[in-house]
Amino acid sequence: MLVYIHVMLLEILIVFNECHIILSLRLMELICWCVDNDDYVNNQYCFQFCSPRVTVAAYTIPHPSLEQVNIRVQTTGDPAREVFKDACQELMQMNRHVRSVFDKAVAEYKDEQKRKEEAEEEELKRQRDLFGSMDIENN
Amino acid sequence: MVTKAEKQFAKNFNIDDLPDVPAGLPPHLKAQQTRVVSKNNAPAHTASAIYSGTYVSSTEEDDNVKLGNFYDNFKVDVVSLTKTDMEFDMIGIDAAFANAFRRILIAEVPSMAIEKVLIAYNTSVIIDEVLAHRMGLIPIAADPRLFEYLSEHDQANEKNTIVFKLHVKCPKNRPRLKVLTSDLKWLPNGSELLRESENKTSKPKTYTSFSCSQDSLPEFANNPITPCDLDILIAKLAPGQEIELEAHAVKGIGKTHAKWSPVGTAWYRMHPEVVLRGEVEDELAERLVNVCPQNVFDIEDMGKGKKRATVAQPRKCTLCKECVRDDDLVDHVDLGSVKNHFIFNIESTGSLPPEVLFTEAVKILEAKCEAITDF
Repeated sequence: MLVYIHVMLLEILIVFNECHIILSLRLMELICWCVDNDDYVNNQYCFQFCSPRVTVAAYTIPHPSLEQVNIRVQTTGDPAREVFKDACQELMQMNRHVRSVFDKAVAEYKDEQKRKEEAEEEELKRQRDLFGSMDIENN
Repeated sequence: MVTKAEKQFAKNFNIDDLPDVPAGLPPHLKAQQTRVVSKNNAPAHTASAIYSGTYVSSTEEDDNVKLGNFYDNFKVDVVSLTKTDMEFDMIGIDAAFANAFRRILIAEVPSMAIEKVLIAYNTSVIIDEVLAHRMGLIPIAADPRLFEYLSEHDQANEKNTIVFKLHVKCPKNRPRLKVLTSDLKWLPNGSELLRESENKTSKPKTYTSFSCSQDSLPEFANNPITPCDLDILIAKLAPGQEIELEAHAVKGIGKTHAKWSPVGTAWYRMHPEVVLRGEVEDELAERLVNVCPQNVFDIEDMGKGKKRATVAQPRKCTLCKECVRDDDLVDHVDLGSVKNHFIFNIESTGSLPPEVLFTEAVKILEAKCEAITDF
C-alpha cells in the first residue's frame, strides 16, 4: 500500500516542476492508525488540509469490517503530527462557529414568529372592536 | 529620454490594474468550482476542491477554502420550525460537514427507548416477542441528557432507567378494546414486579434499585415522562383478553438500534439552480411550464400577445430533468446545484426539539475532533 502511494505521488509530482520533485525527498510523513473512526470525520481531514503546509493528505480504510483508518499527511517541512493536531483544533473551532451561528438564527426566527403572532392578535382585536361597535350602532 | 512621469508610472505599475486583466477565476472555472452541473448522462463537477492549489487565481479574494472566509461567509437561514420539523439553509459550508451532521443526527445522537419488557400476563393475539418489539419502537418524550448510559455491569437505577407499567383488560361484555400508548403509566419509584428468589426468607427484590423517586427531580416534578404521542396503537384486545407488563427504557444511540434514533429522518439537498439560456417564448414557454412537475417555471406576459418563460421557484426543483428531456428545450435550460448551499431538513420523533438535536449533533462532532487530538 505504501509503495503504491509513493508511486502515485511521484506520478502526481512529475506534473509539477523539478523543484517539487527535489522538495519531496525532504518531506515528512505521518501515518496514523486511528481506531474507531468513521468516514465522515476523515473526509473533513482532506478538506481541512488544504493549506500551504501540506502537500498530501489522504486516508484509506484497510477493510470495511475493521474499525481502522489509515491517514497519511505529508508536509512541506513542519512536523506532520503538529499539522494534524492543528487541523483537528481548527475543525473544533469551525464546529463551534456552526453552533453559534445556528443558535443565533433559531433565536432570530423565534423572535420573528412571536412578533408576527402579536401583530396578528392585535389586528384581530381591532377587528373585533370594530365589529362590536357596528353591532351597537345597528342596535 | 525617460521622463519623471514615466518613472513614477513604472514604479506604481500593477499588472492587475490593467483593464483587460480579469479579476478572480474565469467564469467557466468559477462555475466549475461552485456548481454541480446536471447533465443528461450524469452530474458533473461533483467533487469539492481538496487541494489548495486546485483553483489558483491572481487575486485571493474568492478563495472559499480559506478558514477566514468560512467564518465570514457561513450563514444559517431558518425556513420553518415546528415542534417536530425543521427546515433551514446552511450557506458557505462543505458537503462533508453537512453529511457528517446528517449521519450523526441519525446514528449517534442518543435518545430513550424501551429495552426490557417483563411480561406478567398476555392473552392477546400478539405474541410476547412481537409485543415487546412494538413496545421498543415507541418514542419516549424524555430528555436523554438527564440520563446516563446503562452498561452491562450497571444496576438499573433512577439515573439510567425509566420504568413504565401497562395493565389493560377488556371486560367480557364489552366490544374490542384498543391498547394505546396513553395506557402506559410511568412508575417514578421504579419497578413493582418482584423477582423470584430461591431464599424465601430474604427481602423480596425488584428489577430496579431506585434510591429515590424520579419525580423528586426538578425536571420531572411537574412534567411526567410520557410517550411522545398518546394515541399510538400497541395492541387490540378481544373480550376477556388481558395484558400486564412492565417496560424499562434506557439510553442508546441509533447505531445500536434504529429505535434509539431521535429523528424520523434527517436529510439535505443542495440548493438547485435553474438558468434559462436565451429567451423561451410563446409555444415553447407553454411547453416548458407544462413539462415541469414541480411548477418551477412561470409564464410572464410581455404584452402584444407575447409570452415569456421565467424561473419562478427554483427552490422547488428536484433535478428530475423532465425539462431537458425535450429535444427543443434542452438547449434553453441549464440545471445545476450550488456546492456550498444546503437545504437541511430534520424531523424529530419528539424526545427533543429539532433545533436542540442539531446542536447536540455538532457537539458530538466537536467531541470526536477533541478525542483525536489527544494522541
